[in-house]
Amino acid sequence: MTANKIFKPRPSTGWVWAGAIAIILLTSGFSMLITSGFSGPFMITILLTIPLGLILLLITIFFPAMRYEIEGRNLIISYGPLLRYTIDIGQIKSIRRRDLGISPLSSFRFPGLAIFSVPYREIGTVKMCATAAGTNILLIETESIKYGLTPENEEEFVKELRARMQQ
Amino acid sequence: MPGIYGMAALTISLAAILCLTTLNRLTRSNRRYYALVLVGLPLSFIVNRFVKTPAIASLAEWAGTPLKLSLDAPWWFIIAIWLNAPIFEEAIKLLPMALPVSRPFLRDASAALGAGLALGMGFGLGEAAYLAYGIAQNPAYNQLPWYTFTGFATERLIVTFAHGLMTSIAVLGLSNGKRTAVPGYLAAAGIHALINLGPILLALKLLSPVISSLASYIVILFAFLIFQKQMRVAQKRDERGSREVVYFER
Repeated sequence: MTANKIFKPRPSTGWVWAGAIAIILLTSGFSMLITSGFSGPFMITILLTIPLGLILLLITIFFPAMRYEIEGRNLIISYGPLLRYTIDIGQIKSIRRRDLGISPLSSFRFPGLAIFSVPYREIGTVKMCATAAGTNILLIETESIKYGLTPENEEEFVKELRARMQQ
Repeated sequence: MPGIYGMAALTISLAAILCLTTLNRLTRSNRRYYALVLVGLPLSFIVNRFVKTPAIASLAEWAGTPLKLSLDAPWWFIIAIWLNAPIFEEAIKLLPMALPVSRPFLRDASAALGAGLALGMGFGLGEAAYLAYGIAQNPAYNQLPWYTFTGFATERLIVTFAHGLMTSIAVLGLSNGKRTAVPGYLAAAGIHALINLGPILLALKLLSPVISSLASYIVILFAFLIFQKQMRVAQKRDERGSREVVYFER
């Protein structure tokens, strides 16, 4: 039985962006709620800003929980309770590091943070759990899905993955 | 101190951080584009104080019509007010690109889009400050607390980026040569006019505030899609040089 190995992502300030936007949205939403209430002209804005602000606040809070765990024959990518991808290491077709071009339509992507499914113009949708949006992304490709990671100790991470492939 | 200044400081700070981050992403942290943001900052004050206001005031005086937007005004005067900002603001934002020192920014599409974005966003940041100053001079607003100006914050955040998008379209036209310079400017001014149509109809009491804002935001989204398409085309050319390390492949 091989021991579990946990790898942390590269450090980044991506949480600052999510946090700042969360604060702005929540401040705007709650100040509109206080000044005009739900019956006022800002009802739609309040209903959009407060939930979105709360989601971004959760993303900020769970930022330190981002990790890549190699457990037996599985690679488990997680972001606290918000995200969990499990990859069968035997199904991996390729591992490569590359830069990804920006697409302003991307969803949860800030400078220094990309999570959930993010569309990239060159390679299509990538399931991201990374502390970079486009620079030096470690792409792990299976038959049908691409994953984007940014392990801090990339060499060791890839070495461990390759060792598990050969078991 | 009027509350608008607090909200303006917050809005401008956040908008500036977002603008510089966007620029860094698009220009691979090329600091030369920061200079264009700085160049754009005073342009709103200049065009409003020395061009737009005197132009429309002179026109009103010449025509003998009150300087007021209402359905009682002649139709051509309403159109003049509507087109005043698009024509003059898009022109002044483009003006620094006519200087010889700006030539390196016109060498390719990526650089032109980045330069337009920087100039336009600088203009937008300056405009937010200028508008905040104007609001602070109004006795009806200058006693209100800062948090009542969330509408100002939301609108200015979006409009700052919209200015960048519009100017990038105009600068892209300029970078493609003389033939596309005028169409590029007209496209930017046209998008600007469409964005302003909602607020003009609102002032004429022909649209509700919600529909007016929605209409403007739809046009901004349209401008954003044009920018994105142009950026995609420009970046495809740059991709040849991107680095890739293959660890494993089967």
